[in-house]
This record gives sequence, C-alpha cells and structure tokens, in this order.
Amino acid sequence: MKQKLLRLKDIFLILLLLVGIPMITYASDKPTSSFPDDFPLTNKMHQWYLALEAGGMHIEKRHSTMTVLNGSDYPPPTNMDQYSINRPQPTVLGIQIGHRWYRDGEWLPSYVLALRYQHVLTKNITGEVTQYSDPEFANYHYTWDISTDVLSLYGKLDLVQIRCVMIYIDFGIGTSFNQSNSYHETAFPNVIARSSPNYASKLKTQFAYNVGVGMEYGLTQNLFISASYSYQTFGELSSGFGEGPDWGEAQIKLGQLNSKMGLIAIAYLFS
Amino acid sequence: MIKYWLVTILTLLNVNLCLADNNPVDAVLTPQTGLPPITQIGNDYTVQYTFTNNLKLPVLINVTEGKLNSDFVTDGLCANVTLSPKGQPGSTCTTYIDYTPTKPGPASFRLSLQYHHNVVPIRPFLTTQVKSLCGTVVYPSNTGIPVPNPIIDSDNVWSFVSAPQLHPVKFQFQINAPDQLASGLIFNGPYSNSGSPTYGQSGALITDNNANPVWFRPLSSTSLMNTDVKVQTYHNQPVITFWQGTLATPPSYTNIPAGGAETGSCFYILDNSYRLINTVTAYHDFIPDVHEFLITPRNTLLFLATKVLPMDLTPYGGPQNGAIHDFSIQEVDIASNQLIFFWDAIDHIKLSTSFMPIASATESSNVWDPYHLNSIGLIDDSPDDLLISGRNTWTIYRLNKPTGNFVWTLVGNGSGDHIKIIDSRAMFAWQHDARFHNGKVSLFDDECCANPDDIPPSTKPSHGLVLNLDLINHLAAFDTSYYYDPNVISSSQGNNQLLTNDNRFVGFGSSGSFAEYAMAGNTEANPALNFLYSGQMPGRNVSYRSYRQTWVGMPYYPPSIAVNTTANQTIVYASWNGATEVKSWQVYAGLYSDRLTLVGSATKSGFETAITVNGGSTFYQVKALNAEGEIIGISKIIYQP
Repeated sequence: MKQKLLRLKDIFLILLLLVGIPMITYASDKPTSSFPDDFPLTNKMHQWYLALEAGGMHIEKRHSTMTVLNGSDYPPPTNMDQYSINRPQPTVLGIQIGHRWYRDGEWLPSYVLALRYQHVLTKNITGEVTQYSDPEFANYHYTWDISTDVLSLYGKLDLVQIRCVMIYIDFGIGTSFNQSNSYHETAFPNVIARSSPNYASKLKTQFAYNVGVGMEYGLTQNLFISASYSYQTFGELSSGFGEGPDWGEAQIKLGQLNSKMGLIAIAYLFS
Repeated sequence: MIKYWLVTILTLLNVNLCLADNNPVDAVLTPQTGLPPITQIGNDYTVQYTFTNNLKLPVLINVTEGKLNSDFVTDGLCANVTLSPKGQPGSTCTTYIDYTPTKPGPASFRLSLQYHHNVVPIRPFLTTQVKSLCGTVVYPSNTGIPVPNPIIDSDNVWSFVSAPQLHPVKFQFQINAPDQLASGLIFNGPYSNSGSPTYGQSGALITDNNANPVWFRPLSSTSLMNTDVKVQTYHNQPVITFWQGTLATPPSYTNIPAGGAETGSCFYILDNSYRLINTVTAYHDFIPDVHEFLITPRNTLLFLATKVLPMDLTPYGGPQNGAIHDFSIQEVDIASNQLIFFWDAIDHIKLSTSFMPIASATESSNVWDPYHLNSIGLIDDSPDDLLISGRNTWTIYRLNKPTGNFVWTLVGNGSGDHIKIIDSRAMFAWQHDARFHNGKVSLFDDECCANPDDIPPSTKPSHGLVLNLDLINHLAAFDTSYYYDPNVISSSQGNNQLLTNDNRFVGFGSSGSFAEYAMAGNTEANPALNFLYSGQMPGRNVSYRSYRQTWVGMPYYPPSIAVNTTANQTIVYASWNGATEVKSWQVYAGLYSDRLTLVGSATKSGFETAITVNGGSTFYQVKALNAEGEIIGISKIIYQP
C-alpha cells in the first residue's frame, strides 16, 4: 500500500514537472499583454479542466501531548507516559479533474465541480517521551511517520471577476485515508534504552472536508493560476497497537487531525 | 526538541553530559568494563548488576536471563522483586553473573529488566574471544579401563559449606619442632594413578602447616593432573606454575611408559591473583613433560618434553617394532613463545647407558623409557650450563648449552668416567630433582625397577641426598641424607628442596609423604633426627613434588559466603580460596540488600570460618580483613530468608 502511494506520488511529481512548469514558463513568456483589456473568459459555456496543486500544511495541535498507559497501577498521571508533540508542517499535493461552467456577468462568473485527490507527504511527528509523566524521566526522543490521502468531491465558486482576477470560495467533502507508519524512539544519553513499544502501522479511513477562499488569475483563456487558503479536517489518526514486548495493548492517538493550508494551483482548461 | 538537539550536539562534541535524564529503574554494572574482551578458559569471571528504583513509588522488577551461553550463571536474586521507593531501604537489588568459559570462540549473555510495560535489555556481556586451554581434555585411555571416581565423602577429604565445589585431599601431619620450621606454605599437586581412587579432587593445592587448604584449583577429572606446583619469579613478580594434563599410569594408560605426559598437556603460569598469565607448549612434535618447568632469570622457560620415537630395539634385546620415549630440553621465550634452545637426548645419551630393563617396554606398548630425564637445574655463575637428571640412567649430567655436550656426568652407582663416588652412602639410583648449589649436588634418591642385586648399596630406603663435589679430583662424597620417619620406599617421583633457612623440604613422591628437616639431616637408622615436620597423604594419593614456599595470594574473585539458618541459630560460613592475607571476617546482614549492618566478626580459622550471628536477617555478606584491619575482600550479597 505504501509503495503504491509512493508510486502515485512519483507520478504526480513528474506530472507537475512535465506539465506544470512548462505551462508556467509559457505564461511567463507570454505575459498579460497577450490578453485583451476586457479579457473574456471564454466564448464557451463550459469546459473540462485539469488542475495541479501544491502547498503547505500547518497541523493544528488540539492537545500538547499524547498519553499511553505504562502498565503501572500508580495514581494518574504517573500511570501514564506522555508523548509531547512537535507539530509537523507537511507538504500537500493535489490534482483535480472537473468541469467549469460560465455565466455572463461580473458577479458569479463561473463555478467548478471536480474530483479531487490530495496526498499529504509523509512527515514525522516528533517529541519526547516522559515516562511516568515525571519530568525527571523525559528519557526518549521519538519520531512517528504519518501521511494522509484524501479523495473528495470538490466545488469552487468564483464570486467576482475583476479583469483577469477572480475571487472564489471552495469546499469539498470526501474520505481521508490516514496512514500511521513507523514509530522509532531513541534514548537520551545516560538512559538505558528500553525495547521500543514499536507501535504498528495503521490505516484509518475517516470523513474529511475542507472549506477555503482563494484568488484566481487567468494567464490565458486556457491557463489559470490560483492561490488559496483552506481549512481541512482529516478525521482521527492513531497508531496500531504496540508490537514491542508487553506493549500489545498500547497505542498512541493523535486525535482529530485538522490543518490550515495554503495552496497554489495551476489549471488548464481544455478547448 | 531543543534538548534533543542539545544532547545530539554535545554528544558529537564528546562532551561529558550530566543531564537530568534518569532511568526509572537504574542498572549499574560492576566492574564498569564488564567482561574483558578476551577471556581465558580456566579463569572465572564475576560481574554484578545493581538495580535501583528511582521512582517515588515501589516497583516490581523482574530480571531474567537471555541465556545464549551455558557458561554464564546468575543467582536470580532480582527476579520478581519489589523495590522500595527511591532512597528508602530496599530500593536496590544486586544480582551476580558468573562466567566460566569452557569453550573457545566468542560468547555473550544478556539480561533483561522488566518493570511495568518497560522491557529493558541490559547491555550484553560480550567476550569476543575465548581462548581455548591446553591440558583441559582428558586423554582417552588406550586400554579402555575406567579410572575410578574420586572419593569425596570421606574424613580424608575436605568439604566446605561456602565452597562446595572444592574437595581437596586432607593429609595427616605432624609438627615436631614448630619453632624450627621455615616460613611458607606447602605446595602439592595431589593425584593418584589410574588404578586407584583418588581421595578428593586432583589439582594444585596449597596448604598451611596444619593441612588447612589455602588455595585449591580442582581439575575436572582425576585423569587430569597438576605436577611441579611451585612459586617462581616471572618479570620480578611471584607466579604459580605447574604442568597440567593426563599423566600416563597403568592400567588405563599403557600407550607410553608410566609417568609420561599424554598429548594435550602444557605448562601454566598464574599471577598472584590466580589469573592465568600464559600457557606454554613444546615444539617439534614433543609433548610437554610433567617433570620440570623452570623459569629462568631472563624470563625464558626451560622444560623437558617427550616424544615416542619408533626404533628397532633388537640390539638392546627388545622388540623390532619398538620405540623409545625420547626426551628433549626446550627453552622458550615466554612472552613471544619462540623456541630459543633445543637439545635432544637421543643425540647425546647412549641407550646402552640405561638401567631400565628393556623388558619393561612390553608394559607400555613396546615403548622403552631409556632416559626418563626428570629435572633441569641452573648452575650458579654458569648461565650456559644446566644440571640434568636422568632417572633411568642413574646419571646427573652437567650440560653445556652452546655445545650441547656434557661437561661432566655423575653416575649413581659410581661407574661413571668423569666423577667417581668414593662412599657408598653417596650412591643413588632412579633419582629425581638434581640441583647444584655451592659446590654441592642435591637430589632425591628413589627405589625402583631393576634387579635388586644391581641396585647400588645404601640407596634404599628412599631419601633426600646431598653430595659434595670435588671437581678438581673428580670425586663425589656423601654430605647429608634425609630419611622419612618411618622409612619409606618411593618408586618414583620426589624432590629435595633447599629452604631459605637452610632447612630441607623433601617430597617423597610415590609414597605420598613429605617432610621438613633441619640442615644436618638424619640417617636411615635414626630418621627422627632433625625431622621437623611431616605430612602423609591418604590412600594412594601422591604428589610428584612437594615444596615449602612463601606466597601472597590476592584472588581476583570475591570471597565466598554461605548461610545456614536453623530455628536456633544462624551460621555464616566465609572462605576465600587462595587469599593468604585474611586475618579476620566481618558479617553484614539486614532485611534489605542495601541496608546491611555489621552483625558479627571472627578471626579467620582454617580455610572456612563459621560465624554464628543473630537470626532475623534475609541478606548476608562477609568482608575479609587483613592484619591491619583493612577490608581486602567483599563477598556477594546472598539472600537467605
């Protein structure tokens, strides 16, 4: 599964390089002077389009730590180990295939309905493990790989067109495939390393949605670039149960995975 | 995260860190280095782990073995033990790991500590190379006749509560003049021939005058023996040396003449902590011989070595498909193990000079023993010369090493060409341990093998003998004799040692006895004269040689402890095999292993000291004190509920 996702990622990156960059180059070679002043979007009523997008995510931290029962019968919180969370800022890549409809007028000039696939590149969550919730025993540094794929029905509504620029809002609902991968921990010096809990990989399918706002710029009648800000939720993310000795009933839970993301996209409208 | 990078950077910079990182349950290894990377079969190694609870609440720990090598043994003291909260009595637990390598090659052992969900693999004990050891494998009998098991459960054998693995022979002794005895301990290598059960285990044994063992190094089989156990000097340090291997004795071993060394034997050198420094073997397909192992002032090793040399013995009245037991003298540089001198008897001693009847070859697979060289001695102020004793030629040879030729020979029946014996009391036969000192030759005069009519007069019964040599007129005269009281006949082995106070210590070899004499000696008729001390081993136990020597032993291993608790009393047994400086013992005990208090003490008494203490404790430890009251050894802590 992981290899398959990697292959998809590779294909996507190649597409981005082969299609996206020449298009941007083409756009820069042919600046806005090629557009007429009133820049009619098109003389067609609707078009198919393909868009590629890339951006950065900022994962919201709903909790500053994760906790795992350590097997003792001590009173809370000493019966738990705490895992601090350093928020990762992974990269997200996406592709849209959809249809665009046009209306006459400056307001609500067009709208989009598309199938959207997003892949959040694998990123480590890192932090420290504080055994028995006692700062004296902050003994391990851990890394935990997570990645997410989202398949959603995507909509975009251009609100207004000002010459070559359009302001829009977008939204999507779909399914998130949250993947928890390898867990590693490293003992700090002076600490006799325990056997790692070795939390297993886990794939969790969750409901996902996003809402956002953006700005689109028409380079030509067929080529648009856009920048957007979006809020997206991916559902819950957790590891599998521990595969290390005696950790078989323990797992780490990140909880609800929400993020804010900035995206840049390039769309090609087929004639 | 910042701390992580800080730690990483400082680690890369090799800065010694002292951060707050702390193990909830700590594990401290003693010694810190663990096992040495190279270990030696024949040595024992002990390390200990102390586990300490750093949590503020009690914790149940379970230390288990990840056994990868059966040569490791743990005491299991920290299995399923609840440690008290940090800093409180009972917050630590100590477990001991003993390693006795028996097989060559790398070895490792792992402990695992568990508390709650945490499973902590403790740093494994690794030894990258275990050196194999010569002289540890019994040479198989060529006759298939089994060697009797040793007698252990006997009044003639020592047994100890604190050292149950040791069963040295207990010899009878008599002290006639305690004030005249030389200082020092008594060194023997008890064993028995293959036809007789041995009292106790065979091995190197040091005892005091009262027959109490001081150090005993048991061998794994009574078909393995130590001979010539003594103190020598190596690089200006006292060392213990001996030969180890299988000594051929009928009825189990008849492939070579009786008293010969079987294949696989070698010489051992131990330091004063009883660690093995080195072993030495022979060159040119010779086998290290039991009889002599002499470290020279230039830190080389002189020894005898034997080889079966096929030969047509018909010229001597023997079988055509016969062989002789040839002897060589070899000198090896101990540090480099290089052979620096080699001399072969067959090239220098005529077979016709042997007094050993050729018919005796039939008792040892047609291998004749014409020479039976049995001692090499240095000669004062003549580093190029050696004094050699040939038992079966009744001859003492002065050998010049550079030429390989004899300077003179002294034949025990007076028939030699070089030196004549003018007094029948100076005659000898089948002699051992010839030494040259201040113009005198000392030896031990045995009794053996030939037609009684051929034996020189006055060589019977066996005795120590000193001769005056007149090298100008080529005459040997009687000086002193040392007879056992009552007289004994020793058919083989024996020695005659000059002590520092001019006393003589004589080992009577195959008779199993030894004695100390004032210099003036005694006579056959009056053996009680100057007979200061005597010892007699039980049964057929013998020692090839017996010595009195001074020795200071400080074992590398800790003292031993055992506790016997009854309803009425608790007796703590303390011993420390090989420790010569212990004068008293202290007993520490308590309910927690980390809160032991002094509960008793006693003056050392023999090998093992029994100390009665009040009951009620569960952990015990003994400490050894020297004459100054300093603690020189601390035992393991043992759990005795």
